[in-house]
Amino acid sequence: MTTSHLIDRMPEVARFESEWTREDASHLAVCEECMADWQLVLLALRRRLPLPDLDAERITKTVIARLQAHPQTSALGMESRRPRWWRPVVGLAAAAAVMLTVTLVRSRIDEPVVATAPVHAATMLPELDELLPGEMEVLLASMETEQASQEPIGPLPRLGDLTDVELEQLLKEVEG
Amino acid sequence: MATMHPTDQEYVSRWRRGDEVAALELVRRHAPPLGRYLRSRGALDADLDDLVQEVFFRAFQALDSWRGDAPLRGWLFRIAVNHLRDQHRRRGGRVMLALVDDDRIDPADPVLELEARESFDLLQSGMAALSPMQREVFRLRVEQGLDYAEVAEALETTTGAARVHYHHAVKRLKELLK
Repeated sequence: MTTSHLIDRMPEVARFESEWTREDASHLAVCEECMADWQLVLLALRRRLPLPDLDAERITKTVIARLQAHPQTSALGMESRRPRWWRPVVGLAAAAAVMLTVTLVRSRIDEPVVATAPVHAATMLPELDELLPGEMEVLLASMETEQASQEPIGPLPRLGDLTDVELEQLLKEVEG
Repeated sequence: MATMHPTDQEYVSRWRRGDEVAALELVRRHAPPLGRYLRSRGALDADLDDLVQEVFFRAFQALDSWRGDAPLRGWLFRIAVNHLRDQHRRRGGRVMLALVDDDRIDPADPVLELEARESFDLLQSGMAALSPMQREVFRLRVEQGLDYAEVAEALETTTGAARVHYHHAVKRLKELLK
């Protein structure tokens, strides 16, 4: 049994979903630090709001109705039962589009080339198009850092890159 | 004899085949904790049904992107977190304040009530001093009862990282409350 193992289990024990082992309980009885952690978890749990009384049937019905109203959805319950009459129509439309493109390209081949210029898609910030991929990464990273200080929930990317061993080592340092 | 409840995966498979009862069971199972979480983040009771409905709408719409081996509850919380972020942006960065439920403090004992309020206030200011990620991990782990894998899924990080953040949060809160 380690202190971190004890802290890991505190939320479940505080919610009566688990119990302390005899060993855990005896440690808790003598370790002031762990007892302070335990008191903190109990206090935080008292902040917990009760489960709200929601109308599950009404929510489900509305969600299903909304999904049915959005044909592009991948909402799975409906997909298998939806009639597929439109598929041949889509196929015909695609074939017509291909034929039209071929015809237009052929007619343009015979025309003299007047000018060629690269075409950029319109962007809100055209100067971003000038950035190299590496520069874009740096910009995005700095935006994320800035955003982290403003948003209630910030990104947490770095710890996720650590291995389990490294995380365990970090935990030991945190615990002191 | 103990009744075995179908797993989330089983309900999802049935819902994929068009079983609307399975969809209802998923909502029954996960709507209350989602509602509590949204409420703890400042959502009004009157809006809860609509907010939870939106989370399930987004979830069912994107069910193909759910990895079956990831905890569904964590994934639903991730959608709820993202939905809150969207709302936060739409409101121009204004944050909804979580409501304090006075019923949780016993008004029959004024001394206890005062102590409880002081402790809650201290905890509240301690929570505000945590990093956003530590605060969210702590909330999900302690207040919402998610395990590390679910917290990791909800906050798009790893289980190990969620654990480290939780321990950091406990340590910092304990220091702040001393």
